[in-house]
Amino acid sequence: MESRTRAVIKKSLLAVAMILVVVVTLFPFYWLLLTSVQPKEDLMNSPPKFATEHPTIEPYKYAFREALKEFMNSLAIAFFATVVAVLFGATSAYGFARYRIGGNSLPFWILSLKFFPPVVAIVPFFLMMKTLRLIDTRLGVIIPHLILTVPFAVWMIKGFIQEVPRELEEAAMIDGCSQLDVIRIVTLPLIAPGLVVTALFCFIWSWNDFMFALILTRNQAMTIPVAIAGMRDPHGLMWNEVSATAALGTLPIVALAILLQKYLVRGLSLGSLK
Amino acid sequence: MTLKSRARFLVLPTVLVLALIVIFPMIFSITVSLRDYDIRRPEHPFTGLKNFGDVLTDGEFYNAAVITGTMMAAELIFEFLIGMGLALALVNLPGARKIFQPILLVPMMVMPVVIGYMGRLVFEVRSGPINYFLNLLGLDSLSWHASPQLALITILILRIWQWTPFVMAVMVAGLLSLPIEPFDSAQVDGATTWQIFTRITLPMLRPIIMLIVIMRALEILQTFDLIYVVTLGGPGSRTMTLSLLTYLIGFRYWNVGKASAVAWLLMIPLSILVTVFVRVMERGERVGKSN
Repeated sequence: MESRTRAVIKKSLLAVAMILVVVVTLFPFYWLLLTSVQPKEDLMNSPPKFATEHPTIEPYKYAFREALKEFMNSLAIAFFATVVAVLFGATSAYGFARYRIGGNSLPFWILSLKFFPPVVAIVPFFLMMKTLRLIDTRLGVIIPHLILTVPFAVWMIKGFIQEVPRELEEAAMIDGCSQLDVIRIVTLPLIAPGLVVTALFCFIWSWNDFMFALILTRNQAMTIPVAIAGMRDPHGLMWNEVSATAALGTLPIVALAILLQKYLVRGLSLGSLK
Repeated sequence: MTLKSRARFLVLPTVLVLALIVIFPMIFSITVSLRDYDIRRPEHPFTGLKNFGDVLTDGEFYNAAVITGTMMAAELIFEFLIGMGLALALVNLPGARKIFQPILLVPMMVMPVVIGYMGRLVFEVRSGPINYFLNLLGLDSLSWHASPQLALITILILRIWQWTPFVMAVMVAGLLSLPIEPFDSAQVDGATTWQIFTRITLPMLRPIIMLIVIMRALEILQTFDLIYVVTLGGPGSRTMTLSLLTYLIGFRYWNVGKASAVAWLLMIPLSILVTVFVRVMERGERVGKSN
């Protein structure tokens, strides 16, 4: 009896501690949203206000107006960096998983590229894109983003294909399906959720990239993170407007992260933990 | 043509693309690092290892190396200890885990630029909530990221806030994958909770702890976005990391030759870590297959 009460007390204390941790985690997001709807005159209040009586949506209107181009750029760049990665990733992952092309070393070489540091790549990419006249174009950002997405996609999709029992494919083969039919009818439907998960992660990696976009864009192809980092007016930071833009730029990612929650650990550990 | 030789064509395009966007830039980067390369000038004379010599006799480089190393040590220690504690708490709260865990994972999916910007908001000297809470406790306001003494600590707080959940989540997955029998028999033998933790849990988690440490170290070595937004390496050079130094030398002073030399020196610890990471993963795969 006594040990049961002790267990209950222990659990309650743990739960209270966890709730505190959740509050600490969410508070900055609350502060960002609050700042984004606060009237300008309340912004530099000291002491600060923890809620606002007169929320305004002007900062969001501003963000939509001024950062629309950057949103479209981020969207287009992340979309193409994702599509290319999933196409290349799926085909080569099939070769790696089913035919063991390149043995162990080639897939692991590709895995190691996931960690290829952008900081080593920025100088050569800048010089290459300058020569090719691709500075400040979407294509000029999509190409280096493939470093962030392709190795990741290959490795993730390889894991998903390996989870499909080989016997299923062999059975279909015996039933007279051609190799392509087997992939189309058996394998593809089974790995479809894995392809979606991989695509969403690739989208996030590209959307969040700052270093490549900072160096390879000026104005026309500028992406959202670069716009947020650079939004200043002559009188300092525009807290409202930047907050609204940051909130809009973060919202799709938070939504995707919630969709992906079952797979977050798998994606973040590059498939090493399921 | 056999099936396997045809299957090579499945892999070939990916390998070609990666060679083009990784191997080629790497070789290009080496040739740039061996030249006196200022983007604004038309001539880039070959100077051998002069850039490397310049970097290695430059106080700024050592300053950045020390700061990067300090960040590495502080982040690994705190993220690991707090992350481990949170993971043990979550494993003991099975019902609540499904609610807490996804919430805690949000910060690390958010772009570091926004994390940095939120940091500037909450640590704001006059109107920020953190100083307000300090005042409530009867303490004076601090100037956080603007202060030479506190700037690095402010950055570290933000980084630990963002990345501890990563350690936690991977650790939770690791803890849940452990077999139950050793724990049962230890309990039967009358082992204390602490004994069970240090003698059974930690040793069994070793491969996963290795993965966590390497993945975190790889990310920490490349810290750039958050510091760019919060302090840009300042005040002075108090938060200057090697990545940021590379960027500033290359794209503020346009000396891309010297920037490439710094990048390649940073590449040394990175490639060691990647090699170890791949080894650990390889071993993990073999274990997975023999089962």
